[in-house]
Amino acid sequence: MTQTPCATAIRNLAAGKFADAALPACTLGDATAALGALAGARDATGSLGTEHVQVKWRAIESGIAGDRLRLWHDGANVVAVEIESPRPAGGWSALRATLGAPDAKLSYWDGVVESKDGQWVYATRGVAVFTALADTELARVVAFPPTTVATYQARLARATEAPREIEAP
Amino acid sequence: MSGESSQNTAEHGAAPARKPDAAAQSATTETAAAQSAQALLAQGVTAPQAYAELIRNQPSGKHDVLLRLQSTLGNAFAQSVVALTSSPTAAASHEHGGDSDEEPMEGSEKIGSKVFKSPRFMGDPTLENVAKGTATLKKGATGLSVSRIQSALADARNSVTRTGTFDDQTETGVKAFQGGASIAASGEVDKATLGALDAVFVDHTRDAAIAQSKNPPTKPTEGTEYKHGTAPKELMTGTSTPSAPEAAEATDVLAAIQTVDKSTGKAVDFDEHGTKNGKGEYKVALTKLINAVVDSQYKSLAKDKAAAHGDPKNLHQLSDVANAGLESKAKTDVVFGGYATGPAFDATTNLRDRWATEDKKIKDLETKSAAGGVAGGAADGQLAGIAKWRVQKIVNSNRQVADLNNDYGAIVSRGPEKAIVSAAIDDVAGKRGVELREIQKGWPGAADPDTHEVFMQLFKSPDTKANRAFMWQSFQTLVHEYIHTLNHSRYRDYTAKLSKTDPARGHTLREGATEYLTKTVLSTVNYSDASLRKQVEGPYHDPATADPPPVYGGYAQAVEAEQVVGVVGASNMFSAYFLGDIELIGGKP
Repeated sequence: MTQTPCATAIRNLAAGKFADAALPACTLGDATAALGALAGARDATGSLGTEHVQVKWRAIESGIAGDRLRLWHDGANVVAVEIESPRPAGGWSALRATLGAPDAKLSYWDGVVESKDGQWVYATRGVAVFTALADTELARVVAFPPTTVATYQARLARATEAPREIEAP
Repeated sequence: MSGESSQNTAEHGAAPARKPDAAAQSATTETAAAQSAQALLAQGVTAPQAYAELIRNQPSGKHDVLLRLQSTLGNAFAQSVVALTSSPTAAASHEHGGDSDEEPMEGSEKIGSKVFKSPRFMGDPTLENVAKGTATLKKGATGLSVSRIQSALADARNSVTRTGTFDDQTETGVKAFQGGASIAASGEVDKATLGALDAVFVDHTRDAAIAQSKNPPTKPTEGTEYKHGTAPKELMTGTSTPSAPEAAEATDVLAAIQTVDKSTGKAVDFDEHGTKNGKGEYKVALTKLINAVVDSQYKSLAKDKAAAHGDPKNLHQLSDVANAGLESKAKTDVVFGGYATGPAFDATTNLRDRWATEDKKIKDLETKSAAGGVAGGAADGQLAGIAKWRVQKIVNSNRQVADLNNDYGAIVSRGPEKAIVSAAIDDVAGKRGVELREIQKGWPGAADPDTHEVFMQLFKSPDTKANRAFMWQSFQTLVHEYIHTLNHSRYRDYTAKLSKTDPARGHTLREGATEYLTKTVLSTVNYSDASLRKQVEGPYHDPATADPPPVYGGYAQAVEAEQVVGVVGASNMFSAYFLGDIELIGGKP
């Protein structure tokens, strides 16, 4: 089993260990070596941040401490790893206590309802958590290489827009 | 339209009479249907009423009539009929324009909408007069009308550069176009010439040909946009930087909202108490109408759907929808593949069951709400937010609400009206939360702006023909959604920033432009292609049965997006959307 810092970080994320979730430099190959199921997952395109940076993603839904692990990448390098409906080791309360106060709290769209200040950004620690239901629950965790809040917001932030509803046929 | 100069002259010659050709039984029928529709419209009958009247005596079926009217009277008529009669809320609610969440609609009639078949020339009063035969454009004229004519001539394969001045090269271009259209080569733009030019752009095949003509020596990497400024130069052929007035006009026409009384030039008066229209209090009328729309939406989108969803036999397979989506990508790549390509939608990655997703989320919230406590209170708030979203959508995008606002002179973004509308939304959302949450589950679809995941309803019909229609609608929807995935980040950034200060214009750039490009792709689709039918119709395919495909409705804001194209030309729009050259449509980084 590969034991690069990247592989270790991604396996920790998949296992629900989010306290030190910052992502080191990771190639796509590093990530797929860490979690073999990612190698067989298909890529889709997407975008991140208020600048709508074009990226790709692939996802797996089994063998992780959450409903879905989504790997965001640019074709060569991993830009972020996201866990939907995460189940942190020790629970959300313990994780919240460990993380402490975030560098910034941003809004995000939880479906069609905007969650004010629900995106807690620990930019310098390379992690963001999305809280729900008056911060009593954890909706999403995103790990990324440590950066500034401004860069996170511009290039990595999630759910900055409401869903686009499709025209009725 | 400052700086406009035109010559009001007698109409220059009459348009050559259109001769019915030998094999034109269908054309004759088409003409008759169109004439009947036009007569009804001229009497003030609405588009859906005219349509209903026409289909009453049509043995060929309403779909055929609609197709004929679409080809004769133009997409705008057909789209308006589709939007008003085929929406999930049907005639009772007249849902309009789909995802118009940011754009409050206020009734208005677009300049030229009754004389032009293509939206390109709408919004230009001078060209409207030319189309009516009360003016001509000729050498020496200047202004945005001339720019529009020059863009159209260039897009119609004539060697004309947009200068905003009706100069020698424009006159030569007009003569060349007239020659090709069997019109006396006067070099002036008169009713007949403008009519012929308008007809070039009705069905979007010309727009598709422009995109396909670029032929770059290298193809883009799938899923990777060109870094701004690095695309092959061949893709930039036919583009030209708009002048300052053209750039301003290209931005101005993005909004359809009419907030000024055309006769006085002043903001419309709000008839809050209905003293002018005699219809009583605005708040009462608005609340009553919203409730009626909720009734209708619940009936068509949500009633009995929960039970139906419980049995997999009642649902289409996502893999079948994905197969149709393969054709959506293929057809789009044929037209725009030189600019950008991406992966097709996939049943295991980014195609999802809308009902299942929303049902799970709402049921989770309802469970937490029942449990009480801090989380329960927050869940209540979340559920209320969902209900409010649905009512807000009705206020923003329902055609009957727009008509009501027009009746009362209500501009919903203005102080007094805003307060009343807000109270009405809270009132209905508060009282009808349960139904509104079911409507949320049953809404036809949505897409995640970050992941581009598409959430679609998968309910089957007991009727195979209806299931084939569903597959074609899925194919069309996935063309639209696939094009969204190709949108350059620089364009999206511009759109998002514009939306913050000017939601209506931002919405047109986001959805209207995508819709214009969708129509451009769909104009190239040969619906009688046997292999395409097999692929799209999947398990419902019957080689012996070739139903006409459903007429594509789509976002009403395509009209405004196409007005931008009218000013700056199709190539400018393509480069802006796919390559990020937003300056070509008047955008600023």
